[in-house]
Amino acid sequence: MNVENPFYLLLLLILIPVAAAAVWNYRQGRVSRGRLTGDTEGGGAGANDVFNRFFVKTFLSTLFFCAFLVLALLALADISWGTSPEPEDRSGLDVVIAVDVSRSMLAQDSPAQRLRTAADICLGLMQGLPRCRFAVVVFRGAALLAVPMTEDRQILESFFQNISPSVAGSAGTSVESGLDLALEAFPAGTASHKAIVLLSDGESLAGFPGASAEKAETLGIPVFTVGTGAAEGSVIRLADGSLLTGKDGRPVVTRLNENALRAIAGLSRGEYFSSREPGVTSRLAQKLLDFEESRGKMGFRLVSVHRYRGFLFAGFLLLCAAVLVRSIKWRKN
Amino acid sequence: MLTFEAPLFLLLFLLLPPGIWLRHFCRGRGNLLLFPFAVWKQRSFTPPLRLLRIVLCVSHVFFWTGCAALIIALAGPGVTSRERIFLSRGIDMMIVLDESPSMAARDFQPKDRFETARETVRRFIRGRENDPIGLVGFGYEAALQVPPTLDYEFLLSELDKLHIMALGDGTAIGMGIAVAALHLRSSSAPEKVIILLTDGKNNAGEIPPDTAASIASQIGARIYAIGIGGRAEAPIELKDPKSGKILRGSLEGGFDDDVLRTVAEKSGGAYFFAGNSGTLNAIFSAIDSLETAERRVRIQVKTLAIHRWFIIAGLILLAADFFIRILILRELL
Repeated sequence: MNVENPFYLLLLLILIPVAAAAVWNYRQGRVSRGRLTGDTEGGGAGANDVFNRFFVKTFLSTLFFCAFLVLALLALADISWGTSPEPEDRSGLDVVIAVDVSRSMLAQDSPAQRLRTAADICLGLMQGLPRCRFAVVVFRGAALLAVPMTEDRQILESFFQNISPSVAGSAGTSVESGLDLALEAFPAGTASHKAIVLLSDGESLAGFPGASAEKAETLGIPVFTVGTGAAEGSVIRLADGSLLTGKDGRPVVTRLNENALRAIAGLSRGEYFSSREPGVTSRLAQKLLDFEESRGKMGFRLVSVHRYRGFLFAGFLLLCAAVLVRSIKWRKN
Repeated sequence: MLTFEAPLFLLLFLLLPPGIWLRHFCRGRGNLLLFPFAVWKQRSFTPPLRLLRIVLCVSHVFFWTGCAALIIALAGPGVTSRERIFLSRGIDMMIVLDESPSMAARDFQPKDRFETARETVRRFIRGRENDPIGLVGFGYEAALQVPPTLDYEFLLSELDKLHIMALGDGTAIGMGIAVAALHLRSSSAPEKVIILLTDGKNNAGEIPPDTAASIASQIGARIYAIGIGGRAEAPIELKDPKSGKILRGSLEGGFDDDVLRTVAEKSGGAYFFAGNSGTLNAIFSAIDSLETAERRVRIQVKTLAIHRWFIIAGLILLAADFFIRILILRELL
């Protein structure tokens, strides 16, 4: 089971004011009703019956309305489970390589410098996939399309041989902006399968890019993530040999956030690879070839089945019930 | 175009009229408490509650509009768009544009040669489909600006960034062709084309134009060589990118017809002379019609689900109705 927009579930907090307002309204209503009808609680069997009916009606309609809100918010959160095949008549493979060029990628725990390791993996990947087209997106605080989708190996090799944090200007790390731009880097009108390779240490200062990964899944574009660096962490040595320090003057320690990269790969139906494992480049290339071949052979791709309609329909019925409880006259047998 | 994934759910709209009748017009409804405000056969008393009646009316509109939004959401609304998917390979093209100072000559009124050439190239690119197009600039030296790509937006944005003398004071025609040929080398396209635009004589670079044409010919690329500019003396005005000074003067002498003709003939292309902007446009139109490839196209329909917005609207309206009834109108029954 997968929740596409989990942040909508925070809106379930609205149930607290709804319930509080209903309780307040019930208390006020009991007094007002007594004044209007002349009945008082404890004023005889008939009066108590009226008050009991008033309580049951209010309780049920509020309960149904709250249940409607819960189900409608679950529908909004877009819960999905299971898969269904969707026809896909494509051939060839277009790959967007999204490379993190933030300063944390200068840490030397991959075991070489993280950025150099990432560049070497990209160069190996291009050799392993000779028939594919590639585009390159680099990102720090913002993302930049460095090389558009092309077959031209000269420019791609030249780019990766000279890659450095200076190719993108803004400070910070936003994996989300990198993924978003990578999704836009596939030219329209092409009949190729599409995949993204994300190389990063997973340290994002702009939150978890879950929405981007899910958008990729919706578009049928798996994100294969490659984690560069080590979970133990490392200091960042700048080009002039000095250590990058924080505001407190102490060296900044950067760590590989493997969980974030695994989550991105999982959400988009891709796979996670660690740059520290031997043969990562060939395994990644093989994975991409298998992806292309399997989609090409099957002629379809599996897409998640979104279940919002079931929740919303149940919620709608409960809303009708909430209205009917109040609108239909209750008669005593 | 708006489409519905499950249009049968729209039948739920049939429930709305009886719902409205039951909730607001049925005399025996359960949420109705009748009080006699009129003396027998006398004019009835109208309570002075105009504002509250308006609020009540707004609340009812919110409720039923919210219900309608939920019904539409249940029907699975989506916006469909059609995308042309090209199943055949287009022609790889490289545009080689002269950025030497002489391109600032103002004999293509009201613009200079460079701006006119850029505008014509821009129109040419916008008119192409499925043909990867790249861009090479040359002055004293030559450089690849964009590799052959189908990402025309990126290509056009890079074209706009070109400016005169960015690559030095000189005219390295041979280098321009050689760079274009180098980046077409790994192309798998059956047809390759280089479009050369220059107004000068080769006076820089290590590769002479005829040698570069031989290289292009070896990789199977045709060269369309376009000599631009008038033969007469022309005023010139340009900004030196290094000093920022405006340089003014007059320019005499044009391009080398023989060299351009040789270059074109050697590669199986054609030579054109463009003395004004109209001719230049006509030449590009001719190239456009000459360089056509067989196109196999499939139309793919894509649907963007928009049910989420209807659920959000429905929830907001229904919650607003709830709070108005409970907190402002203090509904009793």
